[in-house]
Amino acid sequence: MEKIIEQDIKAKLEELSKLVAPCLQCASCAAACPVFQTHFERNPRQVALRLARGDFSDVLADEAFWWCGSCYSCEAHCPQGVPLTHVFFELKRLAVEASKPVPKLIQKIGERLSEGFISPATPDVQEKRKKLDLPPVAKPDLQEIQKILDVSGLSQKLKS
Amino acid sequence: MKNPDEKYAIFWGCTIPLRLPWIEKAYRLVLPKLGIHMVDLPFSCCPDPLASKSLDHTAWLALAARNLSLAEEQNLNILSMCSGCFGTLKSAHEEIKNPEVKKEVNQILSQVNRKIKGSTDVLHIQQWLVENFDSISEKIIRPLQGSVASHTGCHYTRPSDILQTDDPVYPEQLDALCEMMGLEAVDYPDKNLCCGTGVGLTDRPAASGLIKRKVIGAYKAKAQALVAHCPSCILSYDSGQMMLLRKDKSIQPLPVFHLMELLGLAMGLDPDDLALGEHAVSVEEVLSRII
Repeated sequence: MEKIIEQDIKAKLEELSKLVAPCLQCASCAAACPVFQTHFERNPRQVALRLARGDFSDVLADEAFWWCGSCYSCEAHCPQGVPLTHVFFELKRLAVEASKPVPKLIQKIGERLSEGFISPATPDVQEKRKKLDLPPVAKPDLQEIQKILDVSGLSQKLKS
Repeated sequence: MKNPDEKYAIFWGCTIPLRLPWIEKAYRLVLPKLGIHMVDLPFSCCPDPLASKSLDHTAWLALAARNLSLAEEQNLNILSMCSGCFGTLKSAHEEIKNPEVKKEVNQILSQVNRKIKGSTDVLHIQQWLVENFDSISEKIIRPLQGSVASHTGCHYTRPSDILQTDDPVYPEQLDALCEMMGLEAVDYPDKNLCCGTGVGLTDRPAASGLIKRKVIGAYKAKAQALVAHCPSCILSYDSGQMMLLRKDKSIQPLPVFHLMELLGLAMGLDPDDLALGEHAVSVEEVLSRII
């Protein structure tokens, strides 16, 4: 797949800038953010500010969006209806498209999709299921899943 | 689509069948007693609304649509046992209502000889319980005693414009269900705090910090246990708390129940039939006080 070019990145960031334009900088997002509760330097309000100002210079480079845990608390608390969790998702996907580094565990989960399930089974799970008189886990069609991963382009992205 | 005879395609997800089969046990004992006919289909990972959705929207949507199409083939709605799966599948169901999006998804699905119309709706088990509140309350034959701290979690209510379940900031349904079973649902400061699963993907210590805050808040509010229904939240508060307890002696262990275990007990199930011994944080002592 052709690499996303600088112009495309800029166009996408401009789109996101419009989404955060109504931001009042009231910090309701930060107050509601579980990440901010343990790391005061990880502030969703500041990401919104930089995007709103059009300060795109290092938005993708400093990887600030990867720490978002996608809990949607910021969106639920925003008095202006800024879809900030969605913006964080878009930044993550933009970074993937631009072949920027992806956190290890997120990459790993992407790779596990082709196995049908992303949660690794505990070593004794079959034994436990038997003991609990549970039926075998229904097996998904892995060929179909692989094909969808290939056609949608994710397989290629995971390789790069 | 309206399901006849409360027959649903049950969406178990990954975590329940592969990591926490004791939750599946509780469901398989309780759901038939509630009149739900369970159908197992060969679903794959939903895929998850955190990592997979961060990597590629098209693949995330197409894999979700494939799962929806499996239930659609059987003319069944989906009943999800996991909040993350519910978040993904319900969001995908809503996105596919846009004809352009549906066309794009069907182009991908056609490669595996599948097609989606969009007729299969997605319901979370807690929604079903709330919708059938009165008939379930008649089945409570052994009211429970004591106080619990409810944890609704993030992906059951948010994004609220799409999911349309409970209040995304002040959830009330789980408290109402606990009270229906005779329990007191305490109020506590971090009631709506995230369990840390999403945060833990990039920062494990930060996730532990969130677990600690939750457990301390619930304990100070005099809760005897936490109650949750999302398998990821349960994994955080049960196994995650256990890991924390090994390092941090300042915390008092707080048992975690799955909603379905408590409902089973309140409906008169024998505790020995449930897999209560499988919890990481022992529930033995508190069990003797609540039943």
